[in-house]
Amino acid sequence: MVINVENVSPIKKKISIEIPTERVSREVEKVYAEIRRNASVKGFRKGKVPQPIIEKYYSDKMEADVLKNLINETYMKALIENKIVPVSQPSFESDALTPGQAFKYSVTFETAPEIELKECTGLQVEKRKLVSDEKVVDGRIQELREGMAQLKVVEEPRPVAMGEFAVIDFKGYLNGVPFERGEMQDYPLQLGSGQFIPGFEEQVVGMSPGETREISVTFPAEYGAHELAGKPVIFQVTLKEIKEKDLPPLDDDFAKQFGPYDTMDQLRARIADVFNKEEEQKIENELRDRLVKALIEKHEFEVPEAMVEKQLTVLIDNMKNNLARQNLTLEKIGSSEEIIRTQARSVAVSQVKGSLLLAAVADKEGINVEDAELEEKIRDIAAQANKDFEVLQSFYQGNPYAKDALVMQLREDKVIDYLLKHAQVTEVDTLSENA
Amino acid sequence: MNIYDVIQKPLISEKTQVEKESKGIVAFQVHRDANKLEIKTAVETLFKVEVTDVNTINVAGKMKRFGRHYGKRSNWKKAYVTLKEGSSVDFFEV
Repeated sequence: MVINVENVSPIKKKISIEIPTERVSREVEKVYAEIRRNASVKGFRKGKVPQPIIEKYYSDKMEADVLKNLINETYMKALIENKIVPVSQPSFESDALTPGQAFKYSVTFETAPEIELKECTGLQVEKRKLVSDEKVVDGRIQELREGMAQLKVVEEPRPVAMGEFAVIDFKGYLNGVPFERGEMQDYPLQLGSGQFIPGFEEQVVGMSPGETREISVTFPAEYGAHELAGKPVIFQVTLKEIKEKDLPPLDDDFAKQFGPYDTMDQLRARIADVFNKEEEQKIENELRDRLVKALIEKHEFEVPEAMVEKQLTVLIDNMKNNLARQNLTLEKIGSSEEIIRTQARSVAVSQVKGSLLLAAVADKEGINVEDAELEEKIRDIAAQANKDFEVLQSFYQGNPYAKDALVMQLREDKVIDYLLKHAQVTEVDTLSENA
Repeated sequence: MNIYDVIQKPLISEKTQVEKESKGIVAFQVHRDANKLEIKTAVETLFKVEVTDVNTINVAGKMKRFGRHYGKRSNWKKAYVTLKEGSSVDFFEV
């Protein structure tokens, strides 16, 4: 068997293989023997069909089977002998198979590029400084306060203002005739909330309790009920009472409602703490992203199309899952797979580059994931997802793909840690755009 | 009778295969009205061989039943044609 490996480009390889005559004949005979056992030809019992007739009826099947067997065997062998790992579907090219002749074929596929690692210590990266922001805390507390607010009836008679709740009775007339579902009693409407059709809420403003007004509005053209869409109608509205939001005072009692906090200060501290942790996480992620980016920029190499495509598929699947959780699809947000494929292409390319580089660094520095580390990580995941460690452990044991993915992720994390340790990190207030 | 109408199809089975290999006899389904002479000339011209003997037999069609309907398959004629030693017929190349 003659194997000839040819590098078409840094990421493309072509293997030509020639299989000698006697190997081909042996395979042909073997396949015919197999076919003869199961061939059914009219006029003959199973297994009793003579060779010439088999050859006439089944030469196509023989050829396909022989090709499959020979290629399976020799292709795998060629890959192992030359230590090549294809990352794309191989494409085969072969001459027709003729029994009694040597068989030649060639395979082309993409491989991961060989990466020449340059200096990967002392990378310069910027890190954003953590700024605790009092405003964020205030905003969060205001939200909590709004959430705890209760509606209170305004006793003294005065005109209702925007933002307040107007408790109203209303009845709608289309051409002087009341229309279906146009009537409501004691409806609490927050003015300015945009709940009702445009123009309605604005015209309620200024009414005093007990007052009745006629409001004329036009239904929007794309209104749900067709008989009303685009039609001008008149509503008879009676304001019954005004309610306004009663915000609870920000005191220690308020704080106690949100958990084990005795004073307002404790609540504030807690909110600031959560915020800081989120920020820290964000900064850490940004730092890691930038580090990988810096690494990518130092190296230039081609990326196999197949890997990019695969990464794109992963990205799109993730996106779809996220959307599905909100009951959306790509089409609903006015996009499609093709659009995203082109948009997210550069992201996918840099992700692939990043993971290739990180793997290369890991190989060079001998960074590996120990079983104990893997176990610890699984314990972490179990704790986060509130699942039994044993259940997860057995899931990963029985699922080599998931396990490999996890190990890969751990390894990349370790490599980034390593790079970070040897990198020059400068703290800045705001990140520069092109780093 | 036109020689192209005489021979309808070759009969290939385990039995005819054995006859062909040991005695040089090939079997055909032939037109029901064809006689031995017509069969001989037809085989000789179509397959370019020499024929020494022709035996024929009328095969009665089987009675077949499908539910409560009865039917009969057509009768047909079978011919065993003995070829002169050294000649042979390959049905798949015709």
